[in-house]
Amino acid sequence: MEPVYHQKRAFDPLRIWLLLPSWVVIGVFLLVPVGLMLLISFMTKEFRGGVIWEFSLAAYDQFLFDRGLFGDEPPTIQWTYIIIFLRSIVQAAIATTFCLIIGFPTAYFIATRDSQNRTFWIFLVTVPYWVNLLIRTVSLKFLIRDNGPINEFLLSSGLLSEPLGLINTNIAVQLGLFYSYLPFMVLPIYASVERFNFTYSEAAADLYADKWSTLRRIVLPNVAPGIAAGCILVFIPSLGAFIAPDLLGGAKNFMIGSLIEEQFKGNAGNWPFGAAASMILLTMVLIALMLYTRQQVKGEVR
Amino acid sequence: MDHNQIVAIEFQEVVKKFGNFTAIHKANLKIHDNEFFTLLGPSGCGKTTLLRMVAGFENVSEGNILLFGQEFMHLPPNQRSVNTVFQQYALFPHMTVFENVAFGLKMRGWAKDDIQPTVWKMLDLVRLRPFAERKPNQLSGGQQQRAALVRAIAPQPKVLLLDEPLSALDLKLRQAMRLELKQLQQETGITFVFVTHDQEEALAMSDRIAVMSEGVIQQIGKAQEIYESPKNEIVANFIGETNILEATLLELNDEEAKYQVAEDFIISGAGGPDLVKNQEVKILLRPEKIKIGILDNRVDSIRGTIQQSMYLGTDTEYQIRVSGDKTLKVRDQNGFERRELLPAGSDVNLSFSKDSIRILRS
Repeated sequence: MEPVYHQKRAFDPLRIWLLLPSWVVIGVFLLVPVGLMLLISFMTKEFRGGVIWEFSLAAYDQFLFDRGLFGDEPPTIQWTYIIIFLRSIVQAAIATTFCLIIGFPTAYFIATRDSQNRTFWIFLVTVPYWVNLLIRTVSLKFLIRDNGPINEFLLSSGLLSEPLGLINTNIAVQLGLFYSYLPFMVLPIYASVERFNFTYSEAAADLYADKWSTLRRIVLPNVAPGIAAGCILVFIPSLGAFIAPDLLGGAKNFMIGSLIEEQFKGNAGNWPFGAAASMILLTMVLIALMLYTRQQVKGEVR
Repeated sequence: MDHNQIVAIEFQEVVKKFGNFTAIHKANLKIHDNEFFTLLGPSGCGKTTLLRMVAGFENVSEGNILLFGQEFMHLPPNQRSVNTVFQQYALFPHMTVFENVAFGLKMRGWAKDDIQPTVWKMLDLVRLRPFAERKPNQLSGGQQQRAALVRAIAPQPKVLLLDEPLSALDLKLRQAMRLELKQLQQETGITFVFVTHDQEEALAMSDRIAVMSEGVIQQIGKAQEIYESPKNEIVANFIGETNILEATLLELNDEEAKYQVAEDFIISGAGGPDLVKNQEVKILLRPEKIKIGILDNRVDSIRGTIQQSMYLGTDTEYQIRVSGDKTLKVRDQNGFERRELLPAGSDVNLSFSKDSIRILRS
């Protein structure tokens, strides 16, 4: 029987009191900041950081159009920021792909151990997260820099004659993103594989499916929600990441996160512009999520 | 039964160990082609393990299993031409009924043009054509069970393995499915190996039954043989109910023997070549083989007092105290001779035929 979700309920003051904390949390930590950001993005910038409370579309205009150094030339498309955005999307997509390639087998491996061992493996996956992200990223930087231990080992053992030159490359950024967000891929996939009923795999094998077909036709469709959740959880923070690109990527590999961060740092900042870039990022993510949800709903109805 | 029957599955001295635990002790068993064979036993007796070894989900620790005389233990499950109906059906939840039934055929590499008509034929066989486009969770329990059945039959396996397929259904449906299963077996001519803990199911459907307990095959035979002549106490206790009386062999001649249960409680019945005088034996007597209240010189008759009665509809079960502080369970059918329930404390005569008792050496 389908449960009835939309039961009409009598007005109950207790219900309102019990719901109040979540309303407050959503309001204070979600609606107010986003509203504030939206507001600031339509204000005029103050040169030493901060805003002048005067309506202006300058922030969005700056993002999209180039009007020359003094703002008096005819507008042309401003590619700088669009390229940063595109680069961020590509970087985040690559990071998500790598996390999926490594994360899925890892999660599958853990979920198919016996229950005591599973806890241990999950513990291992989460251990690095007891350390602050910044410290972990800085440590990674020390590890991979030209005179860091990895290169020193490779050089002294004679395997290489020159350092790898990883630091300040896209690969270093990828490494940072991968290292930062891998568990966000592993954990949801683990949860869905663990819930997967392996009798289905047995049934598939019984019906002449080889291992590959079983994985592709039986396991993957059933754990797809976990994979999708993992991809979202890795892609979104990767898109807005600034610690890894800043510390490992250097100036050439600027990502949106760093661009936004710059606008709120010190006196060089431009708050409305940072807020506008944030709003554009937020809108893009929301559209992507909505498309995904619609896809999901369609899949379920079918 | 034909003595030159083709053997579909042969278990040869099969042993299965899980760590230190021995799940199967030297099982020897021949299942004939085109037979409805049942492995019957309480849960944990190893019957499902035997099935899973045939399907390929468990290895054999010692011994061998042959499929139509051929080695196949080295093959993975997907290369064995046996199919399984799982206890919880294991229908793929993301596929329609049609896709589920087609899956095995597709994996076997059938052409699309051959798959379609076969699947429809299968769905018609179990009246599921109107539900072809539904997902398994949109089917009733009975429909799911029938879908699982034809999914396993569709690729035309040499042997069909059924792991307690009826246990998740309610009683009425279970009884209807028994008939359907039996019919399906006869129509398809596929060897069915059926695992159950439900003796009634086993008796109703099987050509032959193997009774298992604690990893040992206790007895193999037709339903009637197993019920009427259980080889030992375990079988007698598991299949139906039985009275077990300890007795001493008193007298023995060519035709009959007399067994003393208590001082004034002597039962006469068939003897046996391997019995000697004064031997301790166990007498098995089914509750429904005892008749209440008839005095007849052709049969033994003993006196008893009713202790308790339980009205069960088709029959009434009495606990009757007889001489020597023994209690016998007696089933009295509420049939043609309709009678009043006998109250506790009533004195009655009990009688039974000599053929209906079975002697086991202690």
